[in-house]
Amino acid sequence: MVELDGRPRRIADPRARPLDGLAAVTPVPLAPALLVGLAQLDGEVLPVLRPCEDSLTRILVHTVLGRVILECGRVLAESTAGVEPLDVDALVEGLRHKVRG
Amino acid sequence: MNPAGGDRGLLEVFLDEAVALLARVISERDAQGAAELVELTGVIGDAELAELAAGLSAALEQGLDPSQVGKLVQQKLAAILAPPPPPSSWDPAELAEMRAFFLVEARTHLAAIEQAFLAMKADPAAQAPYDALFRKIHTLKGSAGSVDLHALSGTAHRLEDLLSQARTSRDVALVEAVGAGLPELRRLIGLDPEAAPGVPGAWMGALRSGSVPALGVMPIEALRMDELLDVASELVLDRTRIERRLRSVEELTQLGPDELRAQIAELGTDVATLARTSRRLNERLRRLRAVELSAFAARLEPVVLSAAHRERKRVRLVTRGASEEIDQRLADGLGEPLLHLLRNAVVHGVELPAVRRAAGKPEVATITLSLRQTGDGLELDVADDGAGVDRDAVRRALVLAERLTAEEAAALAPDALLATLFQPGISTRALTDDLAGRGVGLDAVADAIARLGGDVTMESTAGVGSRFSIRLPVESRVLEALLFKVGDQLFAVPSARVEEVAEIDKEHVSPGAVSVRVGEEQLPLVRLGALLRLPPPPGLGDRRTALVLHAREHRFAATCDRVIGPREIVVRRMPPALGGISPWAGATISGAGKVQLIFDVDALALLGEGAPAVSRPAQPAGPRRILVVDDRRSTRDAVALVLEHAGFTVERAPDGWEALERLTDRPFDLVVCRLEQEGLSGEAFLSRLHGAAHLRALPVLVLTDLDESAARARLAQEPSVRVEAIITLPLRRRPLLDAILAALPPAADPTSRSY
Repeated sequence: MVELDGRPRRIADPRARPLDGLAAVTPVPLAPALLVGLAQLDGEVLPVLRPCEDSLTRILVHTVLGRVILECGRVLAESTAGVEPLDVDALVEGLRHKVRG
Repeated sequence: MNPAGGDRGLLEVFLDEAVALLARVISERDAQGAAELVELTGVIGDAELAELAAGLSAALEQGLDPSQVGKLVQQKLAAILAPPPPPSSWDPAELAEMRAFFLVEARTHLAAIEQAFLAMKADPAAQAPYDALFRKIHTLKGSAGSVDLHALSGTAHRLEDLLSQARTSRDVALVEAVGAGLPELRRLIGLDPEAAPGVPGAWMGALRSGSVPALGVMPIEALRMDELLDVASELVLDRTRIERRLRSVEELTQLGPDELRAQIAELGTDVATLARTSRRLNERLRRLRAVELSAFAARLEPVVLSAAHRERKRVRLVTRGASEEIDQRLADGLGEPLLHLLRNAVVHGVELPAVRRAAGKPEVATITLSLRQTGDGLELDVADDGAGVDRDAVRRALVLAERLTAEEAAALAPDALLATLFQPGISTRALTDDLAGRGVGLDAVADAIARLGGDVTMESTAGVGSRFSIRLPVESRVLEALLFKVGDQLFAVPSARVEEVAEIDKEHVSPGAVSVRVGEEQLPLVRLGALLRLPPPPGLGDRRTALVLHAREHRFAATCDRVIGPREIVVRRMPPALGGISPWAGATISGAGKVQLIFDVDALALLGEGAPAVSRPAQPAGPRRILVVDDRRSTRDAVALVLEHAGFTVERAPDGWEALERLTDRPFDLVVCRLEQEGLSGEAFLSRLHGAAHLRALPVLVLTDLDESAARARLAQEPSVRVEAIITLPLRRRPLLDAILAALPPAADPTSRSY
């Protein structure tokens, strides 16, 4: 569970994990604002997304369009009751539509 | 009861009756008899036979020649009537192992058969291709029989029979029947498990469902190739790191002892050897995962033939660049969109033989599939010599969809008109109902190509034909590139696209310049720093560096701040979420592990033409300025199109963040905003907009998929938000314009202002 703009949100991916020591993020000029840039992880080029105004933590999330890195606020203690889920698949699909536009 | 399942005596009675009925159906073209045959095959209980009978019945109902399907029904009946296969002489475990070996081998046989078939079709008068194809099918039959795969050997046997007849008679229908039988071989070998059995019914089914058989490589093999390719790529990265270290050591030891210099020289030699080895390994692995266009086309040709047969048209598929190779992963991803394009070409592009004859064209239409390597990617064209797009019909479709008035549609430029065919907002139904040209599924085609990181464009000439051009980036492989900096960021461009690196005076590339003289030539100019919004580093002096690049359409000059030099890089595809992102062809990973972007030169050339620093004309002062904010391109473009034709100046923002940036940069008279947006939602965007004092009075129209009351309830969550009107989708031109005119202050009103 993570914090987005001060609100707790639940990431459904059980394999999601915080990333430490990520290599530098390369900005992608002309890309939608949601895309902070690209980073390399285990030899793979991954998009780094920022769906909020926080950039305290980076979380690796598996989506239908591959792995992505989310920049968000704090990672919160495990407690999912009543917490609104964060649909990362929809976020990534939305990004895909935007870059095509 | 299922007689095919066990009671052979009763089955034989039914089968004998079916054989007699079939003879009558074919000789008398008896549609009623065909319907009875369908019922009878249902009782016999063999699904493949039933499907073939249904195909025969359908052919008669549509007034088509039943002989080809009839022959297949006949062969199927004969196969069922044949005595059951003898018991296997293999031990079950041994047989399983032998079959596994055989199936790997069979894929090679099949590829050879498909290529031999293409050779036969290319030169139907020659004897040798028939013989070659016969030998290959015969080999497959023998091998299949040896491991007790009787259905496969039986099908191969029937194809042998057909081929023998074709070899004697040179009957085109028989040749096509052989081609139509190849998908059945694929299915039995396990390469097309989704296809229903039966030929050509199965292939017609594939046509309807839009599926294409997968390529002839086992997934596990592809995975292993991927792994090996990754290792080879890593080898290149290792080498890059060593080279970098070597350069550093060299710098440190400029004044060192001779012996150390000699050691470094040897290290340099070793690195050069490593470079050659890694390049060779990478290239060979890449080729292992590649397929030739001819093999790829062999999979698609039955689609063309089947569609032509169904449409009573005559078509041949020609491949150009047949020996050019395409990565298998790209080939698999291309199957579906190419199927769409080929089917559209046959159904909507190519004319009936009589029409072609009357127009002075050959009765047999030509569809050309051509592949070309461009240095940093691939270009694949699908062209036909048919009727071309009926532009009037496209205009009618746009008007029917309420995108444009008849006057606006009539004024639309030809290129812009064709581009509308790729928009999902244009109803497929309207197009298929009303168009004599193309259009069906083109939005799906564009989407599939974008997922592969490419793009597709179209050109068409009435009476001459149409051409779709697909551009695809390279898969992971080593590329010669030129590295350079813009601001502090490092970029790469394929060396094959760089014609020259020139030094030019600073004043020649000042803001506002749209072209620059390089040598004796005046070239269009792209100022990369301005385009990418990357400020130059301090202390650049009075000279600037320009890269002279050649794009598909033209040469142009792109300014950068510093050239680093040529490098061999490993190209990585962009992540799937970013497929088609412009102007990037991919990325590479530096020796330090950082991602560097690679330019798509063709896309860059297009961006440059429209970039503010290059050639965008000054905006007229008169028209009212409207900002359209919508993350769905189709609606965004549709709204903009309607407004532009109504005389407004329109800017488009793909999300709320970019819209806020634009609102900060320049004034607007009104905002049209989609409520349901990913990321920054419509209401969150409007809350921020109305939170800014200077934008508080800016009129806003909201577009929504919800009904009006639900949308108002959602907007009520943000008390600061105020909207002039809510427009419910689907989009209708008149209500949109009425709402905008009502929301805008009158133009003559002295109090009217831009925000």
